[in-house]
Amino acid sequence: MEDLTRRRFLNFSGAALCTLAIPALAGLPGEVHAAEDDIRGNVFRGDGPRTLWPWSREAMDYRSLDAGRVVCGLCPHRCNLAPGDRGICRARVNFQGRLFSLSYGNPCAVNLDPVEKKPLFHFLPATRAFSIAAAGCNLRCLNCQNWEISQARPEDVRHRELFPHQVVATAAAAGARSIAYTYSEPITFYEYMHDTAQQARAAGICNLLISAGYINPEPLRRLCAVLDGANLNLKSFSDAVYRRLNGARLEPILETFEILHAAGVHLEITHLVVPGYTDDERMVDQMCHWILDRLGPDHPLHFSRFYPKYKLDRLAPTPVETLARFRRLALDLGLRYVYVGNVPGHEGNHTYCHHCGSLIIERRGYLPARNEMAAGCCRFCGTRIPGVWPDGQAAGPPV
Amino acid sequence: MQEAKSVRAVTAIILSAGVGATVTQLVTTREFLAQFSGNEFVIALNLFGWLAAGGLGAWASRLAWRKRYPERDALGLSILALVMAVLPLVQMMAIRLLRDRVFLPGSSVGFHATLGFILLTGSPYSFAAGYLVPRALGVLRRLDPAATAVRAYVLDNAGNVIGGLLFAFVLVWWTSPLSALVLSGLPLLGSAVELLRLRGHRWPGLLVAAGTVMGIFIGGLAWEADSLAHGRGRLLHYEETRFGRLTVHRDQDQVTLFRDGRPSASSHDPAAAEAAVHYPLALCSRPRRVLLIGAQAGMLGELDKYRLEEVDYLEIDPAAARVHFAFGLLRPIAALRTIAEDGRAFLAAGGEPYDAIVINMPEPDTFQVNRFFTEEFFRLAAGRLGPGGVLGFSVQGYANYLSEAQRMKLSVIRATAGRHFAHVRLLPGERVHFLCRQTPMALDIPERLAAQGIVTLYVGPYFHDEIDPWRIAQLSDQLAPDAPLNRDMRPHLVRILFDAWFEKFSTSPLAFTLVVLLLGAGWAVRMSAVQYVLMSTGAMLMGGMILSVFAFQVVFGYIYHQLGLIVTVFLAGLLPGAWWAGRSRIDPRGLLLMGDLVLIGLMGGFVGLLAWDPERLSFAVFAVFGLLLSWACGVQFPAAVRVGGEGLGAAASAFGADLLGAALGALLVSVVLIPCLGFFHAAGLLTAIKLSSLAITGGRRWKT
Repeated sequence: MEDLTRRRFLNFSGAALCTLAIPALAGLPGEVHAAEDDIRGNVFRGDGPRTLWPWSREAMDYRSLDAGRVVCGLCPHRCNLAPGDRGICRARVNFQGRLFSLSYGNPCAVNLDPVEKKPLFHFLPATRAFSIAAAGCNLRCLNCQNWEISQARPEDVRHRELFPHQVVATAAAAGARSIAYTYSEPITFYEYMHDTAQQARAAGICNLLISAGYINPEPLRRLCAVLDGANLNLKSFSDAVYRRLNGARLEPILETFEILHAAGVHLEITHLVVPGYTDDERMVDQMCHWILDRLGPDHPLHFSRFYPKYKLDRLAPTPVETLARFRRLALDLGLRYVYVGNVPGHEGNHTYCHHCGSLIIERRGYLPARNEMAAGCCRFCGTRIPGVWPDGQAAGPPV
Repeated sequence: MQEAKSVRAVTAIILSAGVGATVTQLVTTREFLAQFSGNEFVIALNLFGWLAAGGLGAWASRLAWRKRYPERDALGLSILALVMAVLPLVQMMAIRLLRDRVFLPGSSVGFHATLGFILLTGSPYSFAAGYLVPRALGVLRRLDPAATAVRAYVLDNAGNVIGGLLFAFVLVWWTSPLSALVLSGLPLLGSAVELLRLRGHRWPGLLVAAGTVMGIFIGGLAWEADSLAHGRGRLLHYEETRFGRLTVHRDQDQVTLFRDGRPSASSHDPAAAEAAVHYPLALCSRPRRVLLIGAQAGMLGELDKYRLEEVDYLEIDPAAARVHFAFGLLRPIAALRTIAEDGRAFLAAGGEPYDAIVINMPEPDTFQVNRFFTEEFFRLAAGRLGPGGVLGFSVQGYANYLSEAQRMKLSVIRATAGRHFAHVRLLPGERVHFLCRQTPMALDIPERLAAQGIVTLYVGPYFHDEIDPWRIAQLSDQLAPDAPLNRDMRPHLVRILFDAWFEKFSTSPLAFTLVVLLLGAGWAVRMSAVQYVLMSTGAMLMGGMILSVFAFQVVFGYIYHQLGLIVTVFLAGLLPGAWWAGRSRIDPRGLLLMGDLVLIGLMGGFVGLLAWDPERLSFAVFAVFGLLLSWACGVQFPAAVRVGGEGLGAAASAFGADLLGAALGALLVSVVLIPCLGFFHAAGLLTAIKLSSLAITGGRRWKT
């Protein structure tokens, strides 16, 4: 038998260490988002398709550079893509020096939901929203409810073919009053959403943006022209938490809120309270102050209960007491419509007139079991309630 | 005289290290299961890391005894033993401290991250454990030139067996993980101090060394409970049971029970309890008797709304039921009978029919849970339902898009349940509920509840908006009509959920496994014939043990308590095998040949029994299989050493080949073969590896 020399041992150990190091090379970087301070990720080099498929459309917002490179201008990531590269959102590729969206007319999720499920409590209550989503997302939320589509390439999911005119026709046939661009991240299928929204508006159907709001101002302003309502998820009021848990930055998202507010789009805000991450009372206090200062007191705010999901599945659900406390805090600070979400039967599911305090919409499930509003006003005191109400009038700032 | 005492002290070190190694291995496996996903990959990766680092340690020991002075060797061994006495505790503290520092607190991580963490935290001890035995043999030989490698092997294995028995019969019942590690480290501490004393080291130094070790022990024990409380509110209760870890945390007015680190039941969650109870029970015209297998918080309160005559609540872990009641997660009701028994065994025992059986199990991503989703289970459940009786259960669903893995999972369950129920309905949602009955079911559940005057917070108000005909039709249209059936020994669901787990983390074990296997193959080609035989024997033993552990889970449904026993029987035969072979006059090549033949025959026999009727297998079958398999492996080690030469280098190579073969076997069987091909193919490939060894042992030319 051969003796083991130091050289042989070093060779052997080297090989063994290389084996153990393979994880780091192969998959570890994608898995250890954990202690990382920023999980925004990178563009997917050379991951674009060799040919375009029928559901491709040239992007609206991009800039060409030298050597066929492009910079996507849709969201603050501003992905710099060489030919053949795919953006962080997985839905936009540089194909031969031009930027294309691969999500145009190919929704992978299509449902008819109560509008309250979005959640939008002040927008045509008890109506249905025809809801569509395509694959891809420009965020990386570790608690994503729709990760199977948000963290997937459009080519990797089953989809239906519904081009904009077909979406509008199907929504109308289903009796939907609105079309919601939702579930994954509609900003990544911006062109599809924009064109559909234009046609829907022409057909008298409302357009709802359900989004994390990570978009650049210019495309957002263009979109505002065809939007009727939005629920934006303000996931945190800390840039560090945004980077760590969601892979985004706070500042551009706050700008999105301000642009929607300035454009007069009906806007509701959702804040998912994740224990240990976004349940800091001081942070919530700052967030409410910011909302009051920049957006005013009338935009409904939903404190939503977290349940273990996706990769964040070793945390307990949010205590209901925390949600109730935050709701009280926000109301005390002056926000007028503050709700508690994902807690069946909670008093925070209902709408109370901010002026007289009367219960004006009692919700049982998603739908109103009792509605004490008339022409967008409280039936008891006549105060106008902010929102878009069924009898045609969009109520602005209350009197 | 002094030399004889030193020999005894070194002997005690080897024996104590064996005891500590087994206990550490079992406790660490348990810890990794609680800290990571709890599926079979974690067991596999831990075993692989353990054995591979141990094998490297054994190889590395070959370098150590050159140019050494005897006294330095003894001192080095003593220091190593002292370090090894505290290393398990330090390792456990590192696991708990680093888990939420390396990874985001509350998050789960994928294959490579788990592997990296296991190697980072577990390798130092296993490397030291692999290094110690040949190193101790070197010291032993300086003291007693007649000492053989077989003696060290036998001592090490005797320690392993004692450790396994200690864990299975004492530690798992009465100690926490850290106290188990402390207790199993004490003999090593004692024998190391004794060796130092015998080799002339003075008492003050010895006391400092022993005191330092004891200080680490005490510090670790004091810190134990705090190490589990991170970020989950106040820790109300912590308990290690025979079936896993239970912790209860309070955050404001919310109480949450975590089982193995995952939230399992939480107060203020009426939706889950209502859905689990009312979906099946609303369909029963006048339910009287209900069987619950597992429970969710608040379920009994919902059941009480039906004024039932009898509710049998089965919980395999009596501590889990006790904790549910103690912390208000379940409220006792008049008709309740709590039974600590395995659900399948209970159903198989027969008895009065039930109007509804409600299953509350985690996802079937382990063989243990999978047995509640197999054809064999659905046959039992259908047999225990009365006319019009309903079986209800749920699995993780989807918010808005049915992924391919989920689609296949639901399709397989529907097809499998459909073998024994004429009607199977699926209710879509973030949990997909299955309702199974022999007669048709209309899904007018809220209306039925209203008719019975049953008030709910979630089911009544939300049902028609969450589970609208549009979503029901979409789900039904997408399910695969020709999905395979899920069976105990052909667990398709486990495979699908393994795929889903990898998909969730956008990763695959393929690259890692391929590289390891290629390195293993390259190493096998270069090694001597004897080393190859030992390597394949190590693979066979470890592969056979993993096969048994997983098959045991399939048959009996639980493993933690029995894990120690199974590991013990798979070690226990090594000792008599090695002892007998060491004294046998049979030519060592003949012994190797015989060992190979016995191993192949045993594997064939065991697989035959599994194929015949797994439900008839008793623990005794597993025990006999483990004993005989390890006996045959034990026979081969001394024979191989005799063929390969008694030199220290040859002995270290033999230890190394055995351990690295076991590492490859663990990886191959648990990461690739069983998940991808099932039990029978896994056994077939292990047999093929051993046949290749047989071809070598049966040949005439030996490269030693």
